[in-house]
Formats: sequence, structure tokens, C-alpha cells
Amino acid sequence: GLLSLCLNSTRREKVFLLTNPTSISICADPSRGSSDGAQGREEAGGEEAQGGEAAVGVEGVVQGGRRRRQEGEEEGEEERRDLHLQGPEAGAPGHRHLLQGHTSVRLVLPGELAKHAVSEGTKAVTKFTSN
Amino acid sequence: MSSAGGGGGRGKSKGSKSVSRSSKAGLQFPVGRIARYLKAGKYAERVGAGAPVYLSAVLEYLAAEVLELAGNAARDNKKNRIVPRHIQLAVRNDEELSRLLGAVTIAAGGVLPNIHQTLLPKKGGKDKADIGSASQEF
Repeated sequence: GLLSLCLNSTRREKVFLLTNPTSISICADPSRGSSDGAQGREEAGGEEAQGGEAAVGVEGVVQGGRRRRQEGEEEGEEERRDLHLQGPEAGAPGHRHLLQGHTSVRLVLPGELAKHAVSEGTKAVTKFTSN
Repeated sequence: MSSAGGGGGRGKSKGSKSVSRSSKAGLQFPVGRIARYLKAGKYAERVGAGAPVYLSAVLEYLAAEVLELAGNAARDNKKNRIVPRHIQLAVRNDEELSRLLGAVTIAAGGVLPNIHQTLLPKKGGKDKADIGSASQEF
């Protein structure tokens, strides 16, 4: 069988080894390996299932490009936020838009998605008003 | 950044050249189109100037997030083209996207490969004769 380990080297290290039965997925590998080695499949907060003899194929899916991609941009964003709020062109309408945008985005999006979406929106509005 | 507007300064002299609001905000998603949708959709009587910029940024971030994870799923399956299966694998394996799209059905997406542990054959030494077929123990 195909064993592809995708090790994600971010803080949220989660590796998904998906056992791939033939009758479920579309891009299934029809070659069967009758290995007795247990293939570990771990889910975050989910159930632990071990596929011994019933393992057909393996798909590795890397989760979360979120923190890795956004980390370099957040530092510049915080400096720009302070610069914008202290600047003379920062008025009440811009601030009110930011505050209102926070609330609706945080209501709709869960957790980390909301935090990064608010950061992106704030950065875009800041750049738009200063431009 | 998008090069929809003029590359130089602000267009006010010698026949004003238009600078798009997307390039002003540094976004790829269209600010003007989203502003038109907000006005024509009658969500409110008036729409502020910063609202379409903020919404464009949030939508662009969400699109980039889904496309990055789906691209990773396509690459892991040795494919160069993202198909709905890759989007389904990317969304269901991410915790927060799975919660955001919890009530969403992706067409031609399939399901995650998952066999419950009680349904798997036992690994004891008794069943070496029946290693091919997993029958019940009488």
C-alpha cells in the first residue's frame, strides 16, 4: 500500500492518515496490501480507529495552512493598527466601521477563522483609508 | 496586488485615470462589485464606505484558506487539478472549516474514510485460519 506521511511542522501538529476503502472514495487505489501492521488514524477529539487487515490505501492530508501563512503578516499589521489609530486622519467613521465589522465576523466564523478574518479586514480598511 | 488601476499617482491631472478600490485596499476581490451588491440587496438603506472593503477582505481570506487546504489535498493525491473531492477532504479534516460548513453538502464530495473500531476484525491468534474472511465466532 501507499504510505504517505505528511508531517505538519506548525504548532497544531496533526497528521491525518486516512484509510481508503474501495467502496467509499473516488480516487481509490485498488491494490490491496495484506499487512498486519496497525495503521494509526487520529482525529482531533474524535474516535481512534485502527485499520489492520482492512486497510486498502492511504491518503495523507495536511491540515491548517492558517497559522503558518499568517504569522509573518500579523506583526506588521499590529504596528500599522497603532499607527492608524494615532494618526490625524483616523476619525470616528473609520473606527465605527471597524467595531461593527468585528461583531458580525465574530458571530459568523468560528474561533481562529474569526480572529484572522478580523485581522485581514482591519488591515484592508486601514490601507484603504490611508490611501 | 492587482494592476487594474494606473500604476502611477492618483488620477486627477490630464484626464483622470481610474484607480480601483481593490488596489487601494490591496485586495484581489472586487470592492466595487461587493458595494453594488450591498446597495442593491437592500440589506440597509445606506452602506458605509468601509463595509465593502472589510467584507471583500474577509471573503478573500476565506477563499484563500479553502483553496490552500484543497491545494494541499490535491497535491497529496498527486493531482494538479482541484476536484470537489479535494475540497471535501480539506474542509472535513479541518476543525473550524468543518464547523463553519457543518450544514453544507458538497456535490460529488464523498465522505471521509472512516471505519468504526468495533467493525474491524480482531487481531487475535484464533482467527489465523479465517484470515481471509472475517466471520462471526460461534
